[in-house]
Amino acid sequence: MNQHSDIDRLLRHWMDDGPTTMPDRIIDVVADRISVQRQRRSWRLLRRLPMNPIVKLGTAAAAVLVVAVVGYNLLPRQGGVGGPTTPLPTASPTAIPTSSPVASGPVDLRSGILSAGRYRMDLSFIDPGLSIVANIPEGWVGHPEIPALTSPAGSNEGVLIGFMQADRLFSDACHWDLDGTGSPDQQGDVVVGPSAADLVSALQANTSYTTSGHEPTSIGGFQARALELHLPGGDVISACDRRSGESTGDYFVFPGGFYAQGPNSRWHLHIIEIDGTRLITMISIAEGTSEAEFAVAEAIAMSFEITP
Amino acid sequence: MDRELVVAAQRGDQVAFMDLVRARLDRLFGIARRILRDVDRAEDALQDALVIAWRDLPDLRDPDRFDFWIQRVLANMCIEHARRDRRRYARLEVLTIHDHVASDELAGVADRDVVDRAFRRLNPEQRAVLVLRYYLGYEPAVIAELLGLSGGTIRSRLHHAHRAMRAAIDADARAAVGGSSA
Repeated sequence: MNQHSDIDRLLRHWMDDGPTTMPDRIIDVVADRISVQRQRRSWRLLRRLPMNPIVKLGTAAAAVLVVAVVGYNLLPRQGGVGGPTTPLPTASPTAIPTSSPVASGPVDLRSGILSAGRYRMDLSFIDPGLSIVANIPEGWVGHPEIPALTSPAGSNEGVLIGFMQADRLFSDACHWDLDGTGSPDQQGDVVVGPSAADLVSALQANTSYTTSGHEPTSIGGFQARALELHLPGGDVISACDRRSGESTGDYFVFPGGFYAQGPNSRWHLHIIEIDGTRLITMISIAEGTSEAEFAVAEAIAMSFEITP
Repeated sequence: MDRELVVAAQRGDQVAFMDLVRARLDRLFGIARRILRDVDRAEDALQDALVIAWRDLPDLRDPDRFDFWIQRVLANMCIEHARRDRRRYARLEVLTIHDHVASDELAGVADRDVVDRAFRRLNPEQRAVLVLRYYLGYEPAVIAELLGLSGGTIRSRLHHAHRAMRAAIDADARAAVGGSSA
């Protein structure tokens, strides 16, 4: 439309005019202000979705407690996608560095920065009565509403410990929006058998991420399997399906669970069978996470006392 | 290299953040200046936006989208600043055009003050979309993503902004030649 194009031309020409050089003093002002401004600590925690009571899938069904503890640099890089290669090294308990004495009795996990101590995390959303007590060092952050724990470092170099349950997976963790609604509540399209081994097999068979071996282990006196997932880089994740209202993509391995906590993150999972319930514990590690930080997270996981 | 600076800044490196800011300061100021049409207010809005950007930078998941993200922070801050000062912009008026100014006369409008006055009559949201469209050259879909709005909303704002600009310029032109204005 001619009039519209006239306005277009006017605006383009007019926009070119005007001062665009910022006074140098503003730099100093901004520098002063940010020196006293704390940054957010950002963890991409998805609020736990309401879950139906777990259907006990037979006596052999075990809660796969996927303790995702992603170990940075602990495993050799894997070539290709989708297949297990070398087995995980056996995790050795590491002394938890604490700056203050550990309290004797567990207290319920609370929000915010924690003092060193024993904390109870309510996992009744997975199975009624299920809880875990862990020795948590000074400075870690509690998120009881999830529940989850995050390390003192920021999300780009810290650790997230979370808990999930999974009876299904997404065949494509990047293109998880199966019904096109952008809702993170969707069920996965891959049905997983009831045992920890079933879940390990399903994860290993998935070609949208890389897995690293699996090792039998035990957590809190219950049989478990350890498995590491290698998630893709930011160029892949940014192009993944988006939750409604979000401007960039999300990467969901487990329906209704945590999504990728950044590019090239690793999830070290412990899949635990607890008297017919399968619980997933996840330790998510970012690209910048140090081995020392991971070691602390691993020690926390190894301290788990599980109450079914 | 910018990606490394962003990642460093996300980890709390203030020097890295200021390096990122210095490289973009003039362009960001240009955006603020054009939305707010006032140098002092643009400086204030830009300062506030940069502090918010520092605070929220760890929330940025993809460091490669830093430029897009900080423009979003700034645009929203400019809109907020513009809303605060209700005395500085006129309420949007629906101008009834009785004697439509011919397009060739419109094409001859060279008075930047006319365009400036017309722009100032827009609401902050309309100004922002026009700056993003004509100063940064973003397509409506990109503007929608930057402002977190639907494409339909952006197209609607652009349409109404154009109409309002047109009406204001027409009214100004009629007043200049002694005609009546709405």
